[in-house]
Amino acid sequence: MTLLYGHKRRKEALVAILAALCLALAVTGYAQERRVRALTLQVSATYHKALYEAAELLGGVRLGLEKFMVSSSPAQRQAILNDMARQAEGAQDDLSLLPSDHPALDGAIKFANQVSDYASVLAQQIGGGGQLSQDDLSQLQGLHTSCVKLLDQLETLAQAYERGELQFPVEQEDLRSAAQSTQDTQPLVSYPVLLYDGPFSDGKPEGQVQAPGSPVTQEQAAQALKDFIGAQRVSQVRLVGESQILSECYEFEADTESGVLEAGVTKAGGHVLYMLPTSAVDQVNLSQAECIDLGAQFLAAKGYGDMAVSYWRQQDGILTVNYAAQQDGVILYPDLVKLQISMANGLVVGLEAGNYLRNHVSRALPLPLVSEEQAMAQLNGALSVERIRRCVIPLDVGEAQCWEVTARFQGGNRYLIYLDTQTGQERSILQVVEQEDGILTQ
Amino acid sequence: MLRRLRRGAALACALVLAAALVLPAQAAVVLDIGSRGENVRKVQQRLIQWGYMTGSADGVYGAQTQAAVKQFQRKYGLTADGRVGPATAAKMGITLTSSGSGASSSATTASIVSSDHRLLSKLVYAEARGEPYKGQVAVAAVVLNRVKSSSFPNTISGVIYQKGAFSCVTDGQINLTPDDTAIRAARDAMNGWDPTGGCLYYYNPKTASDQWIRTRTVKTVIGNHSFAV
Repeated sequence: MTLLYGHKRRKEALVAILAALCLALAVTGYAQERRVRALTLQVSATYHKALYEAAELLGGVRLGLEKFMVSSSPAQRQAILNDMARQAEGAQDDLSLLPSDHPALDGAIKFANQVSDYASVLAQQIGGGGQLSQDDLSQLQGLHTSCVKLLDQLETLAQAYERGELQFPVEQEDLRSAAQSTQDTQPLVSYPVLLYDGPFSDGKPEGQVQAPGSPVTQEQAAQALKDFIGAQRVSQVRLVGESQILSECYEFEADTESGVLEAGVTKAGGHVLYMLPTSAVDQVNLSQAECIDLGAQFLAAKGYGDMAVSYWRQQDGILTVNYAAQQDGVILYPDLVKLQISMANGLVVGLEAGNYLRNHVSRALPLPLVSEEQAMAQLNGALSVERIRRCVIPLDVGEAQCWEVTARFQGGNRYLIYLDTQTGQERSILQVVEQEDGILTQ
Repeated sequence: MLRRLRRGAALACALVLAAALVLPAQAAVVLDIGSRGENVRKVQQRLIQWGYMTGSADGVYGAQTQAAVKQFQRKYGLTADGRVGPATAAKMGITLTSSGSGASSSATTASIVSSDHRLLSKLVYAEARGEPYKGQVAVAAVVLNRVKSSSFPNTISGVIYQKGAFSCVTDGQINLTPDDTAIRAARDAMNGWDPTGGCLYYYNPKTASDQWIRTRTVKTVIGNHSFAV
């Protein structure tokens, strides 16, 4: 009896030990699997980032090559070459992380290296007062052709990974090194890429702004929003919060015929700072030109005065248009208002007035010291000028009054070239991209 | 009797096999007057977006659609037959789905304009789906504010994949396919809308474990996220 009992206890103990072992195994197995999964994700993130960033940086190189051809100012050309060198170097870092066995990437690293070295050499040459030879120019032309091709291949590659047709190889080796690595996925060198969505649409740096006008109550702010949208369009306005974005704001939701519009209204003066449509528009009954016109009329009625259109883009049924303020016929690019207009009915459903609120003042605009003719005479001979007008553009610090020259380069791309009206200095070059869905600059 | 049955079965098998072999070859879809469905809707959306026709994408291939297709084909040097086959579809940047039902997968209608835009849409979807629309635009704006800030990498991809910056990269949610709302939100942010007024951080006050982030100045609260500088 005792013996039997003891036997039974031993058996129970054995079962318990076995169960504990199994549990421990399962737990470590699970932890192991989780760890491998985390590392795999980390490795694949490195690949994805490298692919996307290489495309972003090489896009900048392509644009740099194009702008270089258009520029006629040694200082500007030098700056463009330096940018290109840095972007190509960053792209080279990214490309070196990608699996090199893919045919699309064949020679890509070599290309990036070449661009980076060559651009540095040319920049030094120009800095030393040297001239570029015809050989140099055709060399750059050739690099441009390769760059466009490579960008195409990178995009195809990115899409293939996106759709899961290709998988990044995650080797045991990668996982080991991922586990050990503590460094960032960030390349050693990175350089600003262009985020332009219209000429100088970034405006000036952020910061708190005192909106003009005396304080308004929440009810007054709600009424201001209703009036802004159009009282007959609004069935209800709800307060959803308060914020300290650009300026102290009440945050509202307004029910309209175009769905809910979300908006911020400043506590000082009751200005509508921004407005966003929450619903998509998929109907198009009006043309782009009609909508641009309706937007300009809307702004004039709201007291923004006569504004100049600088950029627009249609996305589905919404047209986004940038309007810049004008003073005595001079365009003030820092004072930008953006509208989203429904192409179904021509009504305004979105607004971005932060730049305008931040920057708009009456400018002292001295008469140009460099005449229109003198400015044109400075231009690259391969440009055919289509229009010239005065404008103010934002700089990293402050602003500059410029001649804005619209010109075509050798019958191809269209560019905007900005020449300082007081010094003649070439301040900036933007490329105009004309597509089916609108016009943008980069 | 049995033999006949067996032969019948063999025949049926052969037929199924033949069908399986032949069907893929016939899978190249061509849309023409009278076609209906998701494919037609996709074509119409593009034509409307590019100004070749007006109205709404109703998914019915009528005379107006045909005229618009012809106009598009002429513009791009394709045979102007008014029918949408693989070549025309490719020029429009769409893929025609072969199943008559029109692919049950949630067809994306909002258009993606660049690889930056795609990546930003993925981040918005992974980080902020289910948040109010404004909150989704705000998350995209934070990424763009970081690109402009000297304290962060200078590319969109650099910011998104910066180590430890976004949890969706660590847990793999970044690889999900974004929906229309996320695509629109990313686009509005790229067009310059920023409901955060320049914020560089956001967190969920209910779940954030990082104490440091709670010391930042909160500028606005949208949905579950506090946005801070």
